[in-house]
Amino acid sequence: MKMRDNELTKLVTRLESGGPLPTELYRRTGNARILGITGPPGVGKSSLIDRLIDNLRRQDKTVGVIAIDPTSPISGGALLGDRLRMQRHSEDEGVFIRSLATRHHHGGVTDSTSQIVHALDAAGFDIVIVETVGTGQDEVEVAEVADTVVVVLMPELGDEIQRAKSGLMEIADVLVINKADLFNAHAPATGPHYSALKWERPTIHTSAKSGEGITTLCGAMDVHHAYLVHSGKLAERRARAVRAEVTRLLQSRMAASILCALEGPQAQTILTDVAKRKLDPYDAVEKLTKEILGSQKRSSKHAATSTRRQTKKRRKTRR
Amino acid sequence: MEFCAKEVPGWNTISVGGYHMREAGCTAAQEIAFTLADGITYVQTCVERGLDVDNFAPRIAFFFNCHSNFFEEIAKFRAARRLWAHIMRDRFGAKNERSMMLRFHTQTAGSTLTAQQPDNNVIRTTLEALAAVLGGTQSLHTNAKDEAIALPTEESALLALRTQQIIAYESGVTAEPDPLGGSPYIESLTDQLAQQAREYLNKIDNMGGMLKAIESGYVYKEIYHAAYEHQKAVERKAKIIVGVNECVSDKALKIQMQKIDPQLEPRRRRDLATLRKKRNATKVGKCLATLEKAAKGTENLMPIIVDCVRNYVTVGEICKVLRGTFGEYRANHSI
Amino acid sequence: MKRPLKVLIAKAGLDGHERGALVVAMGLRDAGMEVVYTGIRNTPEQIIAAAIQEDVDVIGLSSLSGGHMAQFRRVMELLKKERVKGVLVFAGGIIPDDDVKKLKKLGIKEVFGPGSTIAAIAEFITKSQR
Repeated sequence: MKMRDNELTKLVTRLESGGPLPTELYRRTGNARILGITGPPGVGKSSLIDRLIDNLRRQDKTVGVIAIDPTSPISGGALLGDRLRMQRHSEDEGVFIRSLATRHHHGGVTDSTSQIVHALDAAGFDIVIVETVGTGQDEVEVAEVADTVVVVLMPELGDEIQRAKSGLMEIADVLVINKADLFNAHAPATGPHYSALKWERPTIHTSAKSGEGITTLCGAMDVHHAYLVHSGKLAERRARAVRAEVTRLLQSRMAASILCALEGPQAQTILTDVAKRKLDPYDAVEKLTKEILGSQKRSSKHAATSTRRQTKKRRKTRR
Repeated sequence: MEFCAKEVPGWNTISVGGYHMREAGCTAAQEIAFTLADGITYVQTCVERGLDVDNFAPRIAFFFNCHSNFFEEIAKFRAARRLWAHIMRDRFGAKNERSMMLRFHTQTAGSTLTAQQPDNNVIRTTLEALAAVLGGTQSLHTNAKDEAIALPTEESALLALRTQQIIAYESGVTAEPDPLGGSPYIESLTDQLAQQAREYLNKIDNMGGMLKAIESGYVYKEIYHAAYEHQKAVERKAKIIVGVNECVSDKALKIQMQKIDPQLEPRRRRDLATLRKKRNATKVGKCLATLEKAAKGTENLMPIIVDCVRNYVTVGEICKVLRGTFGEYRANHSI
Repeated sequence: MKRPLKVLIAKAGLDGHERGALVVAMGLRDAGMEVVYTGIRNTPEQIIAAAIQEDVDVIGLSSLSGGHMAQFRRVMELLKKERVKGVLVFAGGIIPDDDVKKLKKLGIKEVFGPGSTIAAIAEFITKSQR
């Protein structure tokens, strides 16, 4: 049984609710390899991750998994069923699995995915896997989080899924055709053409059921990582990820400021003036922008010393 | 099936089950379709191994549920018989009439029994048993009234047995096969269910057969969605369950309950330990090694399993080897 | 935004009767909760590990095979041992009255037998947790 998951799990919950990541923890990130697993529903993403965990654990790598499922637009509830397929790893000290509901965020991940990835990274996991919702072609946000994006498809997909494919294909570093055994689709005889020097997206046939192709997939992901490091693309990608993350945080912060400012007495006067046709909307925006920017203050972050201590401990025991 | 066709030709080789799927929540039409789709897979596999269909098909039997909707259930059995005959004749080219016959066992539906007012379950079971008989079942299992609460007592099990004996010996309903055949209502219900089941079967065929349908998670999803719909219907009282959502009585009825002797487990463990000590360990090891080797190939396992059992290899040990080779089914949940 | 209640629905031990657990999982989702479903044949250790990693507010245990006393007792022991606090535990399935009393003594707050409604379960959870 793992004791030290207790604190990490609480941190993840705080992040999930929009809480900040302690600065100290952020400084410790950047060591984990981040894998994004995406693809249409029912192609077997979770089962594939279940197999990947086996393989990575045999290499003595620790694995953190973030599995995302959609929030029901009607009830606001969610059925988080991905964990089920990985549940046998629950007790493994080197594995931490967390299911998240999108809570209406679009893009295939959640609002807080980047922060939770940081938390797992800081906690010392060698590999962090993000499994996206898997509903459509607009689910490309995972590319802003992951170093390597694996797009999972299966043979004989219907029209609907073929459409979803087009958007996904653009972000795929590795393409997986899962359930190959089920459809008697076998891997092409020639091996994939890729190396750490030049990357050509490979297509790998797997069977999460029998475990076929999983070693090949792990190998391809390793080579892709080596390629990213050699080519300098890793730094490029991570810079892009930082930009995307900061942009997202900034946007949500600004949105909050705007909503807050609109409640103020000055804004009310401005809005009334617009209603009375004394002021036009554009001038109103000018005035409000000045006011909002003027009121921006840097808010202080919470120190999280206990979590920091926790992290040190995990690093020691996990490695 | 291959082994028995040669070695034990009088043995009923397999009981293709639909009971569990109905208990898990599927509808009558789904029960027919999923069960027959399983049957098709067995027959197909045997044919692909080179067996003559008329050589093994007459020994296949089925196992259905009998649920609470009286006429729908009678029609269900009739529809299943009709569909199976057509499948065997048209799809598999069976010539022997016995290959086309759908012989089946029925158990009344455990999931219709209620923990509230358990005596009412006697009536439910009686109606379900009657529907099964009118639908032409070859054999019957009637549930005891306390099965929503515990394993049955001696007394409740006896009452369940008497229920079907009264139907068999006193009611006279067994005098004539298919006594409701020709009734416009029953015939049209039969047609409807056959049609719905046929649509499911076509869908499954289009998915590449039952194995693929199961592995893709389709069958699982269909069953649990139906179960959830049923629950919602009960909660909004679109379906009435006497004693549960209507006709409720406040008085809690105490009934006598079966208690399992906790000493049973240690006793069984001791027996097993004694057996393991007494048997020939070298032979056991050899048997299991042979089984594992055969399981990895295409050889028929039955003679090897018989040999295992003769040498006191336990069922658990046999299954462990087979699980190690074939893996274990894990439901593909995408709810 | 208030975080929806997070519930773990699990089946312990060798028990394949999944219908009730699944229907409750779907029902609680439709009642606005985030439900982690871990399926059949979990060990008590796996259930607790999942409850911790998922940081759930509620654990729902299902059993229809008679193994509830041994399995649920172990779950409650582990909860204590792992110092998991503030988690509401309820159970459902075929559980005799005498055992219900024993389970409640172990800290299981409620036991829902056959015929229970999703509405009642959802209401129980909401009332207990808010």
